[in-house]
Order: sequence, then C-alpha cells, then structure tokens
Amino acid sequence: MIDSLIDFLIGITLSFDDAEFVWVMLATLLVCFGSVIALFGFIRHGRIMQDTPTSKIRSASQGFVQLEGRAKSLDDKPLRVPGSGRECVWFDYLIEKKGNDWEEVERDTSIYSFYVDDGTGLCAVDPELGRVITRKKKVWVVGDWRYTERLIAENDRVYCLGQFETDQGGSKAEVLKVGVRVLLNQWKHNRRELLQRFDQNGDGDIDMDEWNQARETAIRQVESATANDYVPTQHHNLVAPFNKGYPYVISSIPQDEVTSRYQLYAFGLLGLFVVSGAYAVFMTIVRRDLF
Amino acid sequence: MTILEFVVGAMALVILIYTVIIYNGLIRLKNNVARAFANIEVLLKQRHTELPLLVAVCRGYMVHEQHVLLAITEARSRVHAAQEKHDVRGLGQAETRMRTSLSKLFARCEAYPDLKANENFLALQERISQLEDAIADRREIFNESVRLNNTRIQQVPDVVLARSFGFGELAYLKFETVALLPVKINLKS
Repeated sequence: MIDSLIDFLIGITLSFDDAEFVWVMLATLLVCFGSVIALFGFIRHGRIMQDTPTSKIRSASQGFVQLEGRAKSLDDKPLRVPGSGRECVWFDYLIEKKGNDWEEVERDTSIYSFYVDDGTGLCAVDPELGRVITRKKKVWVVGDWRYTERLIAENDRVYCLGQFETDQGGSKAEVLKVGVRVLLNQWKHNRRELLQRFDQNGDGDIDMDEWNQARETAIRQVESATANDYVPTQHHNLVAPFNKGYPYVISSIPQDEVTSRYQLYAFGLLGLFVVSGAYAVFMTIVRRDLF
Repeated sequence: MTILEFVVGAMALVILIYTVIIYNGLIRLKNNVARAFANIEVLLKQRHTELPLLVAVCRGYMVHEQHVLLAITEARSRVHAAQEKHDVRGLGQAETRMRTSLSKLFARCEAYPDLKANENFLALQERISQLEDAIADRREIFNESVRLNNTRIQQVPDVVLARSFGFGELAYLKFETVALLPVKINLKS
C-alpha cells in the first residue's frame, strides 16, 4: 500500500514540467508555512483562553479579561434575524438562490452591541471585530432559496474574552452642556414661541443679546432639572484587545468546548504541516536534477 | 545544505517556537497573578486611607468601645505590613482580623443611635462595605489566577520549562468573608 502510494506520488511529481514543478513546490511550501503559523496561532490563543481567569463585571479590572454571563439585548429590544425573523441579540445570516449552484443573494452580520449580565453587573459587548462562535446554526431551504443563520439568543450563556473598559459617565458640566444644546435646538425649531419669549424689541428677529438671554434661560432650566437627578453612571464595555496578539472571542458555547475545538484545529494543522512539509522534501528528492 | 539538515533545522525551529510559546505562557500566568494582587492592593490602599476617618468619627460617640477601635487600628497596621512585604499568607490572616474587627464595630454601632444618624459615619460605612465586597471579588480572581498558574506548571510539557526556569507554586489568599452590613429585608413587597 505504501509502495503504491510512493509510486503514485513519484509518477505525479515526474509528470510536472519545470514551470509546473516550481508552482507546485511554491504552493506546497505556502501550505506548509501557512499551516505552521496558523497552528501556533491556535495553540497560543487556546492557552490564553485557558489561562485567563473569569472576572466579575462589578469588580473587573481595566484590561484583558474573561467574562461569563447571560446575553441581554440593549434596552430590552431584541434584534430580529432578517431571514427567519427570530429574536436574538446577535446574528449572522446568508440567503442564497439556486441557479447552477447556490448563489449568494444577501449576507449580513450584526454589528450591534449587546449586554452580558453575570449577576453582578452589565457589560456591553461590541461584536464588531470579534470572533463570534455559536452553536445554533440553522440551514433550511424554501423553494429555490436557501437560508443559513447563526445567532445568539436572549438569555443564552455567553463567554467573552476581550478588553474591558469602564466609561465613568459624563461629568455634571458635560451633561449640562448637552442638555442646554438640546433645549436650544428644540426652541429654534419652534420659531414662533422663541420670538414670543425672547424677542424683547419686537423686531421679529433674535439678535445677539436676545439669544444670550435665551441661552441663560436654558442654562437655568437645565440646571434646575438636573440638580437632584444627576447621578454619574458607569458603563462597562468589552471591545477588541489593544494588544493585537490577544484574541477577541464572543462565544455561546462553553470555554472548554472552544478550547477543545482550538486543539482539534491545531491537530489538523499539525497534520497539514507534516504532510505538506514531507511532500516538499519528497519533491526535492525526486526532482534532485533541478537543484 | 543537505535535505536532512534542512528538515532537522525546520523541526528545530518549530520546537523552538513552541518552547517560546510555552515560556511566554508561563510568564503571562505569573503576570496575571501579579496584576490580580496589584488590583487588590489598590483597594487595600483606599481602605487604608478611609479607615482612620471611620475610627475618628466613631471615637467621638463610642467612648466605652475604645478596644474595638484599637483592634481596627491594629488590624489596619497588620494588613499594611503584610501588603508591603507581599506576604500573601500574612495578608490573609490580617485581613480576617480586619473583617472580624469591622464586623464587631458595625454591630456595636447599633447601640449608638446618634452615631447611626451621623451622615459621615453612614457614608464611610457604606464606602468601606463596598470596598470589602470588591476586595472579596478580586480575591476570587487572584485565587483563580493562582490556581491556573499552579495547574499549568504541573502539566506536561510546561513542567519541564517551569522546573528549568524556576517557576514555582504560588500561595492562595485565604481570609474569611464576614457580612459587614446587616441584610436588609423589604417587608413591603
């Protein structure tokens, strides 16, 4: 069996002309180096996943962390997957139409953030730039149309690795500034009322002094409205790690399964590396006349 | 260069890169533990600053409870000393004393209505209780980091590098968690 395999490979290798041989050799070396680079990438990321402790959101430190909790939509408004209309917090879908083969018609991936709730706090997770791993992949065919979708549903257990950042909330001065701007914009849109209140000389226009008075009134109004209600609110966010060598993973399958998958990929890549490397060496021996 | 030399060289390179990944992983684990400890230290320093304020407020009201206040001051010094020495076991013992002393103090305060009505006292009590909860949370992360480190350095092939480069087992931070504020029960709902 091995002899016939070797004979088969020798036959193929000798059948290449010089130009073909160079291309096949380059392709084999590319697969060999590519697989070894990817192999080390999976090993490294798998180890980082296993070696990072799970933090609680309320006391997580700023920086690279691992969080575990339930997925919650922002503002209690779940998204809907365009294909099936199912409710979720994240989706990735593909719609294909049957021609000679299945041809892609529409594809989209959600870029909207969702919360992870671990019972101690909420953290908004930005899925853009993240590697999203899900268990729920659904494929179905209706007539000439094929739908494929992956999603993270509300309340699914999720496991995330990424850069944890806490936004301390706007200062009182910032809240005041934004509030005044919004109020003045509202007044500007209702010109008649603006003139009634602030056009003191009755010329049908708001001059600089009158506008300054309107601004003063807006500041007083916003100040009195926010005097008792202002509470600086912390917002936690999970984003792509600043260190590009670290993984950004959002997964609805448990960490152990993710790392097992990574180990499986690593074994596959190791096999590819060994086979392509061995074939490159084999080609060199068979076509020694070229070297 | 012969083909054999090339193959051996390539294999050696692959093994070298794998060794570097393992070594860097061990360094990362060690740094995770150091970072987790530093995160606890930040909170300990904040509490170290706030405790004298709490003691000062209480001293004015609790004339007959000076020994309770003294116990807190002593525990504070012990925590600080252990923290300065990076003595994790000593810190655990000192922290247990601190929590027991604080728990006693807050229990005794129930007998002083004037103190309980003091806004400064209430604010400090709330703040210190929050710090204690945060310290307990961060201790969990620290101990998880230590567990990951201690497990990894016993596994093959990491154990070979760990022994060669002197990566040792690290100590867990152990202290008793005591509820400092009485549990509030809402009878209306």
